[in-house]
Amino acid sequence: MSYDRAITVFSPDGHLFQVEYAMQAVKQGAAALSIKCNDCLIFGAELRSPAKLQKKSSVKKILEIDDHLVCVCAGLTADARVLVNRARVECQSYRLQNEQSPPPLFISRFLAELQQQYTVRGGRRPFGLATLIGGYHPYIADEQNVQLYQTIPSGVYTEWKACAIGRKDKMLNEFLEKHYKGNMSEQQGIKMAIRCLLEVVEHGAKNIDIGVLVKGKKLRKLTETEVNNVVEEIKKDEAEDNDDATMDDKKQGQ
Amino acid sequence: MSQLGFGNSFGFIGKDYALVATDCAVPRSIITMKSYDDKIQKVADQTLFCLSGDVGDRKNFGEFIGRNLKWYEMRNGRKLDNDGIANFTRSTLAQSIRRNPYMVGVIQAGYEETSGPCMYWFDYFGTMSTPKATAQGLCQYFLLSLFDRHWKAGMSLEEGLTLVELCIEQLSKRYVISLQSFIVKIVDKNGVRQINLNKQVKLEQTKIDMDAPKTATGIPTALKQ
Repeated sequence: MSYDRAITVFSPDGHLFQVEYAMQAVKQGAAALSIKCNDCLIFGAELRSPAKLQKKSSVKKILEIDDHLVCVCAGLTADARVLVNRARVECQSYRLQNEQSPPPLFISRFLAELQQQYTVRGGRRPFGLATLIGGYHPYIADEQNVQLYQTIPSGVYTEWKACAIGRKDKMLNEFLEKHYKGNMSEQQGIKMAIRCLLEVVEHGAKNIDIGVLVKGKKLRKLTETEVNNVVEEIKKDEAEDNDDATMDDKKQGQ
Repeated sequence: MSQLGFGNSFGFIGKDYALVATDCAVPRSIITMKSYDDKIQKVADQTLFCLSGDVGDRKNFGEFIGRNLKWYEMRNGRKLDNDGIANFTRSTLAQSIRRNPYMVGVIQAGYEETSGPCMYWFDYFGTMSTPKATAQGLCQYFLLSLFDRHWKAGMSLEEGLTLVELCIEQLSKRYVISLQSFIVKIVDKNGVRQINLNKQVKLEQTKIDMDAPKTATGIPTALKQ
């Protein structure tokens, strides 16, 4: 096990242990997900229960990189702040050079390359976080316009329709695979995001943070009341489904 | 040759607005390279920069400040107020003067919810002042005294535009370079917008009667109106 001490050392079977341990750090982080809808992007994050004296609003998980780009991270929060600040500088630098808003691909590639750089040279540890970056492409029209990318500590970036990272990501991704439909409306997307997060979040609505990015508008965060309303709706739907199930049982019994 | 003197812009504060006006020509020695160039850049939601000087420097500087302000907003979650913008601009100019100077003169016009309209004047050394009415470029020699006479506090927009027309008229009459068109923009609580001047300001040519009796110096005494 001496192969996991330094970042620059491969193990005999071709693993970079430090990078894999960084991905473990991501799995310890609070859950976060993002869903691509017909005309918007939904971002959801699990908020760990704040201490009693702590101001809840000071914990920000859904971060704006630019007017048209939003990112949600899972893993080490301090690393997230540093990485997002680098992305913010890069965004404005791109705008200064090209007079255009940077496409989501550009920024996710930038972050992925940055994360990869820290896996190559010794003395610095990798960033312990995965990010989901979503936003609007400045000039591709219509359907391909909304893009969602995931970056992981090894420096790989991939494009997704809906993705979850952080705690219990396997379970959340399975849920999304099962229930995701193309062309969802904003309301359907929000409902799906909350349903998904309710699987892992303790105590329900007050530990869920939802953000909606619509083209041409700034990121909109849902208030706790709005989230509560959707949670109530979901509970009602589930109750109805249960009633239908018991009805069928009764019919079969007869 | 630095084009600093040839930028002609002026601005002043009114009751609930701050106004800047500039001429639109881009000269290069004796040629007008471009006759309609918008030299007033919106740098933040309620801040205008009226820039004069070399084209490259002024565009570059305006965009640089604008992008940095946007970065500040993204990073800190709040916008920088007009005072902050002014001081940031000033320190950028002061730091770059001994390295790669930005050869620009700036008039910043802004509006704050709390304190109303504000105006700042910068030169390329990083001098900053907070005048109520001011000008950049050679037209300062004509307009500053005009403002001393005619600017008063709390002017409505109509009174302000009358003052603008007075300034343009004075420049057409006395400034040796003919300024064909002006752009006027204001900042108020609704943000930034461009104003179209009502009157077409033209120079009344005074005709000289060559047949009139001449004085000892050879100049005709009678000037035909």
